[in-house]
Amino acid sequence: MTPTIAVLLIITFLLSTVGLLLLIWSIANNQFSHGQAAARTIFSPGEEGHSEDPARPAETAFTGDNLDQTEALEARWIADQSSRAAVLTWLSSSVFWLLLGSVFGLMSSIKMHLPEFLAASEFLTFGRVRPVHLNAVTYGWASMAGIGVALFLIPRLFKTSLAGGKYAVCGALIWNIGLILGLGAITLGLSDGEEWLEFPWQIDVLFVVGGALCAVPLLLTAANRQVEHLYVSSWYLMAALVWFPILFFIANLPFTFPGASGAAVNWWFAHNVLGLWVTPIGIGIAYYMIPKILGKPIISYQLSLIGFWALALFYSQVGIHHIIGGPIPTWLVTLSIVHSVMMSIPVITVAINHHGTMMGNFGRLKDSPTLRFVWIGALMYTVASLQGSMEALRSINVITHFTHYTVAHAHLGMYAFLSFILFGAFYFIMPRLTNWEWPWRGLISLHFWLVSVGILIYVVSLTLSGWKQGLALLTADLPFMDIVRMTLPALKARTLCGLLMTLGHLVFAFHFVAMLMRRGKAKEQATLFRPSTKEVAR
Amino acid sequence: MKQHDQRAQYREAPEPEEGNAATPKAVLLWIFILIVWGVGYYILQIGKPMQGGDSRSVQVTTAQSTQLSAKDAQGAAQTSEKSVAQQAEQADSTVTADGASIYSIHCSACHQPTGLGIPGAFPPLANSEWVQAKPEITIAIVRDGLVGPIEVAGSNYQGAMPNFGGKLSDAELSAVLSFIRSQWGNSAAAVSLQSVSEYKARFADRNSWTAEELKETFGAP
Repeated sequence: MTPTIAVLLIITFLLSTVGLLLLIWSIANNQFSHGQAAARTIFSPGEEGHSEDPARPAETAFTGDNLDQTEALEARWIADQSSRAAVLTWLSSSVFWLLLGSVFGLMSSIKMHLPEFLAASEFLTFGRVRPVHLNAVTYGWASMAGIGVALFLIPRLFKTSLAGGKYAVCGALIWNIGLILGLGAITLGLSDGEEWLEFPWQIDVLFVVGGALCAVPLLLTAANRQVEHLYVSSWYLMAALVWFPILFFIANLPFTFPGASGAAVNWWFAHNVLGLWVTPIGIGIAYYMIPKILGKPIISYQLSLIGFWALALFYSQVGIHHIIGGPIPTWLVTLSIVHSVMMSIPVITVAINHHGTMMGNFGRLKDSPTLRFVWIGALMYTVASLQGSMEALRSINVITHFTHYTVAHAHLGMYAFLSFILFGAFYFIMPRLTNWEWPWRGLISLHFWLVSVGILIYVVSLTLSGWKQGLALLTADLPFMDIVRMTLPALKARTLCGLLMTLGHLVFAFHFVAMLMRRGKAKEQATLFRPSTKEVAR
Repeated sequence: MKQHDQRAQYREAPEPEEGNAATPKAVLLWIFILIVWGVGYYILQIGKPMQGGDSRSVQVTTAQSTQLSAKDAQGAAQTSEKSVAQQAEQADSTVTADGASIYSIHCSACHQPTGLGIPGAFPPLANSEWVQAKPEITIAIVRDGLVGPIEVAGSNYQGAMPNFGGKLSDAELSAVLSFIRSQWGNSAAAVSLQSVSEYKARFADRNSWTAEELKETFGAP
């Protein structure tokens, strides 16, 4: 190790560590004490202690019968109305891309064990279908739904109306055009050839413009905010919206990163999309929805602070663990491994905050679709992240790298964590925007069970089979084809799971459209998994 | 049934806030442990090679193999000194000249674990007249490589066998050659370390052989 590089390495690590220690020191010395009084500005008087959104019993309903309550209700109503058009545009688009992405995912899965499936057309070969799946679900579903939910939450968090919502609508249109052109380009074989960065850079410009048009209203809204204390969800959402454009712009710069440095930038970006874009969005939403539905505060402000800043300080060096053993300097890999393991700090603090708040309220999972989806998502965030820290270690990576284990891990993160939280957020947001209740509780149940069983079998089968595959690949005298055959049962199970999840998405999309068209009976009560007591009585 | 406007906004709980629970001591302890671990992990890496892949240099492996042969010649190992013991241990792990493992690392990707090769692309070693010919021919092919057309076991191949002279030590060459000459139904004599040394002395540094040159130099297999 040359002195220069050793110094660089130590500085990167030291900066993050010193930052974290400073934060802990400040917390210990009460520098951050926001005081309950400040918090009460968010928590409108008279509302505290009431229970949740959908299941809140009618007799204790908050009726807005004093001034403060009326004001709080008005603020909420105004915030929701102001963001309505923008949020609905982003969310509706995301549902379409979810369906398209699912179909392409299913196609790639079938091709893994039935290679001749749709092989006659060059446009439907594995090398094109699979990137279409990845880009449609990442930039179409996850990103658009995430931005949509952020557009809904930020006016609420800042107690103001969304400024310049039409820019966001315009941004959604441009983003959609970008997706159509980008996915079309991949299908025609015009890919940049780097995973997560397949869209040709000329098309990436559209995403930059679309995203920027979305950032304008959010920044204006933040400037107009009516609250002094920023709730933890707003940190995550705003940070994600700042980080992602920077990452996306740098990684897509054409002609800048040739060869092995391109690989390093590629995975630096790809993992940061997960950690600094979809993770903060998912955590931010969970931080909002869990206390919102339960009607009780998140347990610890201090843990929120450590969790957020540890993510910010340690995440961006994590991605290089994807190329352990690759043609890049070993010190870079080592740095990335250490930072990957350090990631267990934000994960554990966020987990304590989320699950600690849930403690004693697990019964509510039986009723509230939002809570059930969001909490399972939050739980899977904990699981996927701790698993990810383990996978970054050389001794484990040597087994799991280039196996289906990694695929299971990726879906645990992007689906069981993020998509579940997004589903939960949809069930919360839509009644407030359409002024209508979800028409059929059976469909919510069906959606939940299809996607849950699907992802459960998916992750379990690919994890086990991937681990066995990894061990077999390390056994030099085992013929390669035997190992491929060994994984076939898991690959078939995956197709079955993909089918279940795709069916679940069809149910969800149907229900979403029915909701937009205000189908079903007019209801006063929220649509829950179980009929609320009042309805039963009637 | 009558619906009220804003009913969803009415029935929901207030905007969320944060409680004041302190950071658990266990979390602080875990942060401390991780920082210590991180520093320790870096320290462990000091002195390790900077680049990935097989980072052993040719000089190191050769030096180790010479040491090993010297040691073998002496018979008993001199393990009284710690450094000698360590070197011997390293040497053992790299060059105890286990023909089977050398084969699986360097040869089996093309010639397959079964020794049958891949028809039309990589010639078989099993029942190959070249493998079971004079030791010099096998040493020549593996050490210096082979290009151009060659007929093996009745089939014609047109390819390029890379040279392994820079990758394998003399002891490793003799081990892997002895291995392939005794596997899969082959039954030629082992290739001694001495014949490798003799070959080296005779041809020193040269380029890849062709099948014709081999026949001219050593006689037909």
